[in-house]
Amino acid sequence: MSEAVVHRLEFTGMTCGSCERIMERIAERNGARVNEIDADSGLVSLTCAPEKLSPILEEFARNGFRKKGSVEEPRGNPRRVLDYLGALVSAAEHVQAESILFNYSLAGLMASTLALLVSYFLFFNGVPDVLAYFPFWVLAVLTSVSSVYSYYNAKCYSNGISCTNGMMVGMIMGMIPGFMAGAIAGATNGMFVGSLAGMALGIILGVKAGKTCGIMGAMEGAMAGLMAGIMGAMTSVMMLNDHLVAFLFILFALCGALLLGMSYLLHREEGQRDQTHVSVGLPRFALLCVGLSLLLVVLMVYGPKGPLTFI
Amino acid sequence: MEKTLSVKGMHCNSCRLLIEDAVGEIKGVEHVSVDVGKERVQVRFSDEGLLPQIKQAIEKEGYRVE
Repeated sequence: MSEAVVHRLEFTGMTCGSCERIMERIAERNGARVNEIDADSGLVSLTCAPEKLSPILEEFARNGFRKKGSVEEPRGNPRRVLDYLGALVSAAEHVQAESILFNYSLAGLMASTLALLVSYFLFFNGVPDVLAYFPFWVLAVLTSVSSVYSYYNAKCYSNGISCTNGMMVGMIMGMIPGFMAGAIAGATNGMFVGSLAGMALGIILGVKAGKTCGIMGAMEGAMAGLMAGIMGAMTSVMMLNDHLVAFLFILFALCGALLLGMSYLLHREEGQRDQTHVSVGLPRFALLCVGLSLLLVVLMVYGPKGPLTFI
Repeated sequence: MEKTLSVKGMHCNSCRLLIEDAVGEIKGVEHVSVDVGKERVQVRFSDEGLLPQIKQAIEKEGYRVE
């Protein structure tokens, strides 16, 4: 065996003292001595024979700590995102949980559409100008299905998610659904109701999704929901006379892209662990989509109206 | 026998690994599963007398067993 030398390396994925401790343990178990380790900078200095370094790095990587400059996972390549989307649609094995949820979403979409059609003929038919709400009903269905999909997608990876990713999830789940709900309700009911609706949905989803990594994630989700609800309502009220419907469809497409981005982030950053499982059945998933869609639509049609509304 | 422990202080995947590592090293422990979000540690072990040792191993890592 060759002589031990000092290796100074930089890693990604270290977020806290627990990360330092587990890396120390892995190194010592593999015959190395840790001289220095710092989660904030990602710097690790360890002493071992050169031939012992490779197994240590492999075990580090298996547990989410990658040496900076590693070439096995190139970053920023758009093709990887397209490959992920293709795998999702074709139900590839390595994205099994996401594929199941994707199919659930299609079912949720159909169930919500059916529920709204039935509701229209049963309840909303006599409401004046009800057909003017139609674009917002479409947006309500898209909001509910995308929010429920994203929430359960995040839940698949909630067990042991890293702090950084958990906070990102909390922020996205607070901001995007909160913004979408705030925008729809703001357009149809005004700033006050829109802000409340957006904040309610954003804070609830943001906290529930973010708390998987503790209070930091929950706070991140709550703050994002708070801001997004108000911003969504404000955006709609400000654009009432300026191609609002067209703008909202563009905006919601971008929101959908961001939610898909979160799905890709989770798969990319957390997917190597064997903990992906779907914690919801199809009936509950579809019921939540229908429930949220109907809630938004009932609010639109029967809710209090502010001084400035689209309809 | 199998026991589920309520453990406070876990917040990330590294916490999960530390506990699995510490408890897994105890002779007689057959399986350990950590749920960080639900703050639970499920342990399957051969002898009831191992339970205090398991709790001590978790607490030694800096987490609180309730």
